[in-house]
Amino acid sequence: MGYRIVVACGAGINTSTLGEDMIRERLSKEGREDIEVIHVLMSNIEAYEDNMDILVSMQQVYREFKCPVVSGLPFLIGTKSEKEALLDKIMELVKNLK
Amino acid sequence: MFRIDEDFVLLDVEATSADELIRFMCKELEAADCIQPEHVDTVLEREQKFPTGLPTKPFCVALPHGEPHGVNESALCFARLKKPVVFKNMGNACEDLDVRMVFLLVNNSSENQVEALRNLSEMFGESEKLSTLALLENKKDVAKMLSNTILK
Repeated sequence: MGYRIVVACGAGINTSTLGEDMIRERLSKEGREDIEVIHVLMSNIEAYEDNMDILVSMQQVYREFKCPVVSGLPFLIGTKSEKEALLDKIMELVKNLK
Repeated sequence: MFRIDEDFVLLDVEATSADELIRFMCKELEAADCIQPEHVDTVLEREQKFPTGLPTKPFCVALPHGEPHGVNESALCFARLKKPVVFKNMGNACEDLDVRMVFLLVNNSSENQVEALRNLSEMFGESEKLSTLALLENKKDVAKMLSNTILK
């Protein structure tokens, strides 16, 4: 069973692709290319919610999901170390995936 | 790549609302044929549903943008405000942010824009860069800094 991280944003230029890019890079560094990372629009999230293991959202999330949810905002406005900290947090969640 | 030039650098802008400001900025882009008249509606719609105010330091910025429809040429329109304008926080839509600088992006999705976004986000994370941007005196210098930062 492959694992999947979903990065979601509002619309348009897809700020989520930024998160996706940085997460992929880190997963690759840690030898976890087995984990799929995709970006979606928040308005389409229902189509994905049963098939995602971690949700990284650029927008505020208004409801519960079955998987852990993390704010992706540091990817957009964080300092270098805040961005690293977010990647560390995501990697922690990855380690807990079964 | 995003078109970034003096024509789309607006300094000392006055606006009473995010809506008014977005319309004003889109008019500039429309005049230069970067976008079609209807594109402003997608930007406004997106701002309503998923606001783009960002709690950056030392002051807040906003990153309005819409779906890549009705865009002829990818470009960045930059506005520096005389007085802050309220945008809602991307991370918390109930929260008002006093925004000083606005980066309106139009994307015709002809290419992968991740690099430009990445560079933009690096600037958002560095308060000294935002401070510098706030102090540059003329459009040319602002355009140069934006270009060097985002298109490197």
